[in-house]
Amino acid sequence: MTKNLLCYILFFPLFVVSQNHTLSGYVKDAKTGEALIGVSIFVEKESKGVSTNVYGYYSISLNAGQYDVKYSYVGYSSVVKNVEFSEPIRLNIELSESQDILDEVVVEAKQSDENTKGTQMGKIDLSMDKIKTIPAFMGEVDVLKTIQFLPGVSSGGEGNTGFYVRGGGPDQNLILLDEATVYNASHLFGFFSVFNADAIKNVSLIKGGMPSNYGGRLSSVLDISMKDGNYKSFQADGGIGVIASRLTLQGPIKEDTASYIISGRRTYIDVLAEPFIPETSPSKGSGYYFFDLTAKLNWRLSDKDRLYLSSYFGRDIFSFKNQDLDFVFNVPWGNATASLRWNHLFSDKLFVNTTAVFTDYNFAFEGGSNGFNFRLASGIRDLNLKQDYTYYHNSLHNIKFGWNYTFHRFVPSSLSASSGDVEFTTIDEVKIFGNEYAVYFQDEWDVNENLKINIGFRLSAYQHIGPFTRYYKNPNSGATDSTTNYSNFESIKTYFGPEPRFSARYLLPDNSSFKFGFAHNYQYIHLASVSSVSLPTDLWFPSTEQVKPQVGTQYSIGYFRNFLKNNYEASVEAYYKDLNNLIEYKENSFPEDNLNNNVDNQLTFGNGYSYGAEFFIKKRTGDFNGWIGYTYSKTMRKFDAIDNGEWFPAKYDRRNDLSLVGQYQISDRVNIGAVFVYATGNAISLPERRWFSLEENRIITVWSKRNQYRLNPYHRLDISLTIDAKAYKEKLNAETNKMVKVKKKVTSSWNFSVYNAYNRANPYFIFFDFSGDPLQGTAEFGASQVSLFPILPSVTWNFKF
Amino acid sequence: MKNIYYILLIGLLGCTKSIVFELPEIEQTIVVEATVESGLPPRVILTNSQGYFEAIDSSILSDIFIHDADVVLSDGIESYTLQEFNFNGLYIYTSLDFGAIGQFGKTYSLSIQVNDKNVYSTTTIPQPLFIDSLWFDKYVAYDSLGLIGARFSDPDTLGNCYRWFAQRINSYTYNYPPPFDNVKGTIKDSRPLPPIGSSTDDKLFNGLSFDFIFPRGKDGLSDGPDDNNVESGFYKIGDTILVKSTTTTYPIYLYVRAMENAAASEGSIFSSPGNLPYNVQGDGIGIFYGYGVSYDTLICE
Repeated sequence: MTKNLLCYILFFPLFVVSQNHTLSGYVKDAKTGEALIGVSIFVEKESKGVSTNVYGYYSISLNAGQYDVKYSYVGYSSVVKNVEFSEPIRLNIELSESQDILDEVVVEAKQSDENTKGTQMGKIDLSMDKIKTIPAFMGEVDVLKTIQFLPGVSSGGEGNTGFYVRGGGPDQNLILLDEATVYNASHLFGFFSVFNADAIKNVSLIKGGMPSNYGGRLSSVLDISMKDGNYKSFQADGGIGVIASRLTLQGPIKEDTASYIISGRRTYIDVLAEPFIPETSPSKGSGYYFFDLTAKLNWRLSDKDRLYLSSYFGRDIFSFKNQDLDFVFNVPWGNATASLRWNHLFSDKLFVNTTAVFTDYNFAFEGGSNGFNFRLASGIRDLNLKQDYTYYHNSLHNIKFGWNYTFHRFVPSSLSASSGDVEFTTIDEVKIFGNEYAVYFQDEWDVNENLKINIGFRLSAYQHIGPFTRYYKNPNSGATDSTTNYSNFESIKTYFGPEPRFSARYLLPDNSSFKFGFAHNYQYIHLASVSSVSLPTDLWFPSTEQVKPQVGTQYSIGYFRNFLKNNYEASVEAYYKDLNNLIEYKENSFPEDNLNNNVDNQLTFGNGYSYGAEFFIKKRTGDFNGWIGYTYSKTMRKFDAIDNGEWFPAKYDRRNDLSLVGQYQISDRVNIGAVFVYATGNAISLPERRWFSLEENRIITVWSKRNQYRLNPYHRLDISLTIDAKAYKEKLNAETNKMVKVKKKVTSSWNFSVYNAYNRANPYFIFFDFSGDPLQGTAEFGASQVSLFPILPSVTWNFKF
Repeated sequence: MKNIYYILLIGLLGCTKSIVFELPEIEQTIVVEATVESGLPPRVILTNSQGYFEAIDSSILSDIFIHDADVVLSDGIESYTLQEFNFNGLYIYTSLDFGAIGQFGKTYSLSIQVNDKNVYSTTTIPQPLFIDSLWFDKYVAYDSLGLIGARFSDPDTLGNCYRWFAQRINSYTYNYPPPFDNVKGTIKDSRPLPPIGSSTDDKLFNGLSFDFIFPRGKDGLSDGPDDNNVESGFYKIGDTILVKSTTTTYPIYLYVRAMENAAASEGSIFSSPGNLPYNVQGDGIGIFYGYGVSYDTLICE
């Protein structure tokens, strides 16, 4: 009640001018009760429309009168309700899946003219049902790989789920799973994402100007919503693939009131390979597997209150043994998240979501040989509490505001070691604690029929607090000259970040629009990597008195147009992004240097910029649909300690990036899909010179300046064929003595995929070596390209009952 | 079904093919490898770098040395001009002056002039440290093979750096398959050899006494008769080992660590290419080693 009163006081001017009545409610799937995100609610008489939020809620204000209100959603039959409007109305709607499943698009679940009418630039929603028809690597449907087909999003490499958005680094993407931050979104060195497609309802990627309700990252937001679970009846889905199988169970705890969903996945190459490894093999017992579990519970406590409890737990476990050499090591790593969310309606116009989140990511490397044992570990743990308010003032203003607090605990490196009976107790475990705060406000305002703006402001802050030990190192000896100790909760350094956000859309008469976006972001945590690929050993590290927050500013402008009755949509967007206070490890840094030391003593700091143009055309409807996306971009970096501060191309600087995605529905049961991608080769450093070390009897390589050369271009074609089993069977009706069609209890489909259909040998990495004997004067030096995946067919059987 | 997974695993191994990069003409640079160690005269090797993809032939090997350079070593009090000597095709600058012999605790500076180019560096010979005890650590899995076990006490001052070498000074008692079918009677190691991971600082074990083992190193590019079979990395019963334990400086530890890591991870995607942390400055690259040396002898039995 106090909060309610506070809101009214704060927004009194808006409340008093509001004389309209409100139509509000939730929209859900008629069959499962699942909340539907992004349903279009349109009142044609007033030319006004809204869409449901991530919880399926909508609210629209109208003058008194009688209206036809149309609810429409991709893949569902539209519903039109005639509403007599003399007082606020609560109208919950259930939509049924359309029988004509062929008439909609490959991706997204937004209203048909959102492309031109929305103010948000560079936002794409992906519907999981549609993602599942796109060819998938090894048959494993993967949202992170699908978004790499979109313009402005670059792949992290062959088979890699890492992604780079408009020249930003991999740590600059905010990845949320039901509001919980996921720090490492990949399994198996990036070949698979941690997200089990069967448990996901919706994926939303924002690569342009970030709205002010998001923050903490510079480049993009990937907001993933888990399914709620079937509120109506028990349901099981699953799939058996060549490398992993998965099973999802969902159903009502109390019909239409509470539901659950639990989904699991595990790879089994280790289990299948085990019988083929001889008992006498020294490496018996070595192996790799990953698994993940997602679960969610939902309660509709009342018409105004809903509770959601979501959790994720995943682990990769790699173990290696060599019994002959008495050598063993294990490498476990993974994420765990839990989020508790409470939706509450203060009124039909004021929606609030309160969220408490726990996030944990851990990596360990433990092993031993000949009496020497060690354990190296790192991790990050967050406790987060936030509130997000949406105030549907009237049809002209949609206001959001809220606050966010996160307590961070970082363990950049923790080592324990022993040799025989001697424990190496001299190693201090350095933990870093921090508070991150943010408040924000934004108003999406229809200024007039043509002009719509979204103006927002976010004020963020980060406070590095004790306990903490600062090491001052002697550069000549590596020894610790002195230390400074900070006590519990002592404030060590505080940063503030004012983050203005602005976007605008101007509608043109020919179903097209111009848009402009501006976003200024602060990022207080950073990813430091010692390798050339994304690895679980990469360290998340916070801002300290030595590491300033990363700051990014992005300007974007675009022209958007739909044509042929919104069946086609197209856009051209250009952007410029400025990045400051980026971090990298200094050259020749090693993980063990973090022991009895601060990680930031190993870092170097720099800046970057990126600009580019993105072209996108999509056919939304029909048996044949898909899109073409092309990006031209340039991404550069500069660090004081690298090449004397000269600019160099970022590793993921892709000048040209092309994606073609298409699918064709051959019949009710048969669908084929294809994807073609082309990208400029990665920027790399090459060995330019070499010298003989006669003291060491070695050849030493002298490398070029950073990333001055290019790998060969990357291109690939994937194809897929999905065949649904017959959904109906014929059965004799005893009363009429006629054969009738009865829906099968179990439905299934076969998916056949071919990855890299024309067997392109794409560069994964390059290594340099020589043949012959240099000491005899007969050596030849050369470069070899390793290609990872040749043509790879796969088959997956999916079922549902 | 089993075959499917074999095919799958083979497929996952990927493929490798040779590729050619067209590099622009790169100017070559002066490379310095200089060493001062306790009890020995200084030695400085000056070479030129080559283009990475240049083929090696015998003329390149003989052409890499830089002759007639002005090389001056100073211990802070006296300066010594080093002279160039040819040791069987290996050109080394050194001094026959007794004063130039390396001494514990001294800091040395090196100044080199080649035509109009200048290169300089400094290093220190730290005080030596003696190993407490040594033993032959027999390996259970292999009857006659083993590693060197050592007990060691690190002083209670952070920042000590070490590098280990060992030389088998006994002879081979039998021949190996070709091309090593004529090694019987020759000394096993021609010089002290560092194992991989030969250098460390003391941040893990400052002030502690503890046991450790180290394997047998190989002589860089030169494979010996026992470097590519089950004996690789092991010493053998009957070996007499001269253990050369050295103290060194932090920059040299960083250099050796990076050099050995580059050699071990060459071709790995998990490593980032980078140039070594040289301690030579000016118009060249290279390293100026300083070692405080102590010797022990171990008989493997």
